Amino acid sequence: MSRMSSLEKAYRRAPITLRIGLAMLGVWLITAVVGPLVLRADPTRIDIAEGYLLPPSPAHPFGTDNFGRDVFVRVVYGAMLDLQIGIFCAVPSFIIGTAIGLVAGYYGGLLDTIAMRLIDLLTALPFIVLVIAIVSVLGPGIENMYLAVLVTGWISYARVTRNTVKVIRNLDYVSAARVLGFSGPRILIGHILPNVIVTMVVLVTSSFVGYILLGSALGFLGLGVIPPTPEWGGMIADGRQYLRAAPWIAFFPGVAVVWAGAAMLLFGDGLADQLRTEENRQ
Amino acid sequence: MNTMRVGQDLAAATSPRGSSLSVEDLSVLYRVKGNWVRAVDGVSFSVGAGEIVGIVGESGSGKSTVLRALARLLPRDGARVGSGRILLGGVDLLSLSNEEMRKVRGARISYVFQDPQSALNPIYTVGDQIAETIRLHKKAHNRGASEETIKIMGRTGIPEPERRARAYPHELSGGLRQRVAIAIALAAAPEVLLADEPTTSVDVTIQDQILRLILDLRDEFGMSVVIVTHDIGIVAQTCERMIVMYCGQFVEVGPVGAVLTRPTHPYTEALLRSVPSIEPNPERLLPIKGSAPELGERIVGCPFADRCDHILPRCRTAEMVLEPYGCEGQMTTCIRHSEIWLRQS
Repeated sequence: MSRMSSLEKAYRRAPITLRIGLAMLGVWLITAVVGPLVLRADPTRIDIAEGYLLPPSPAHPFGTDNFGRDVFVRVVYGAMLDLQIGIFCAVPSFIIGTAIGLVAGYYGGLLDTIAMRLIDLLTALPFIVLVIAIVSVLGPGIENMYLAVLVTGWISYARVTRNTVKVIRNLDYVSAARVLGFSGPRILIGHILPNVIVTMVVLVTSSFVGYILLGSALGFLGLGVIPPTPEWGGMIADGRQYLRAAPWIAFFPGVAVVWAGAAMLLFGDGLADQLRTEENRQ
Repeated sequence: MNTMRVGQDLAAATSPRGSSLSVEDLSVLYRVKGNWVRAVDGVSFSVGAGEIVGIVGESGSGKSTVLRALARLLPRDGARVGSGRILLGGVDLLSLSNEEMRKVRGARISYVFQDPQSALNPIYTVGDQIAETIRLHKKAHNRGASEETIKIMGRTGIPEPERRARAYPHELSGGLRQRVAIAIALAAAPEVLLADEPTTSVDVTIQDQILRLILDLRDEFGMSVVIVTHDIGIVAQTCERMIVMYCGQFVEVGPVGAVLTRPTHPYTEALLRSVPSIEPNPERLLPIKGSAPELGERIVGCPFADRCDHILPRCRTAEMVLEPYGCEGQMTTCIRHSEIWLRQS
């Protein structure tokens, strides 16, 4: 059986949520990558003279904002930025958190104690407050935001991984690997990690949306993405004061955020279903 | 009592053909609510090259703990070896570093678990799991390892090994899974195979096949086998010598034929009486009255005293030592073995 046909088979068997999620993610991804190439417009171009607060029209499908910037162009350019925010917030935390969780859960002892107390300490402080504090110290900007999220974001992954590993560690197939003479790192990476990773992937997809919203929230507070860079959260914040006069300024970026959030959640949910049915078949 | 000396004597006395694995005065302690309690209490035995030894006992008697201790597979927190030596080819396994032990495992000692469903990693094909072990210990290359995999799967009686090698554990039946687990254990041709209730999770016809397989492979590879089970039938069918374990102690040791026909310890007799038989007009099945002492309960004298029909006051004070009985190497801890008449089966 070739790899391709088994992929096809997997797709046909996949839950509807997973398929819809994948399709919505696809639209987002294509918009982010292809959109700017097609539009070739400047999302920060200002037209104060006559083009500001224009309602949607063929020339400006999503209207223009208070600086006369085309909302459609900004939403399309924002797609890439928000995708980046999601990825750069979620992936490093995921990698570091999973690694710490694996080691702490498998080896236990002092390492585990230190990691768990550190997690307790960070959990005691509200996540957003901590991120705001770190960004305030480092200064606003998207890179500092990534750093702040990393400092606090790894804990949820580490805790889930650690607890899962603690269970798997005592299963017979791990004992079997040990009694066959495999080394600790090899058991950890070759035998335990693949059994943990599925849970973690589902967790990442669900936190992905949270990070985009966090990016928006920080943008709103003036700590994340610096204006005039097009970012959905920032655009919603800007459009808020024109909500009655020009609702399209906040509406379209809002739709984009909802789209992205729904895409990720459906994808994560579908993935969980898919993996669960696979487990049931065993 | 000098346990060390007794241990050595015992190890020497109980090995009929040059011992491959010998255990001297092994104690294992578990931590229960902050206290260390003895789960295995100074046991000694040896297994000759190519010999099959069975350890029987009820749940909680410490039989699986002995086996896990041999492979140094006790849980890292909450269990420790209190004393003893485990000699494999003259080297004490307990003195080895983790790295040295790693080289012994798989290559010289292998383990078959009770439940092959959980002993196989669900996310790899069974062929990959066998090949991985071969590559680790034999330093074979990919192609060599997969040829070897097919060969060993064939030898463990898996039909269509080429096709089955690509199957995941959940796609195989319980019997096939246990064969795969055995194939993995044998992949590096170990000297000693430890089997922890290898047939508990399969039905009776498969049980018979698996036991025959272990016997055949023992003949082919000349390895020693230790089988832990609660089923005396399995011991009768496969083992040459048997050890009866109760409350972390060996209460009776000897050749299977001798022990089964002429038990010298009331516990062994009680175990035999509680096994159903297909003979006509069987006596009523007799359960053993009472229950075994709790782990951690302080035991002075014979641990079986409370449940025994032949108890005397001195049973509660005497020191339990395995003493020879007869001339076939049978040994018992019962101090009344020469006075009481136990039903012979």
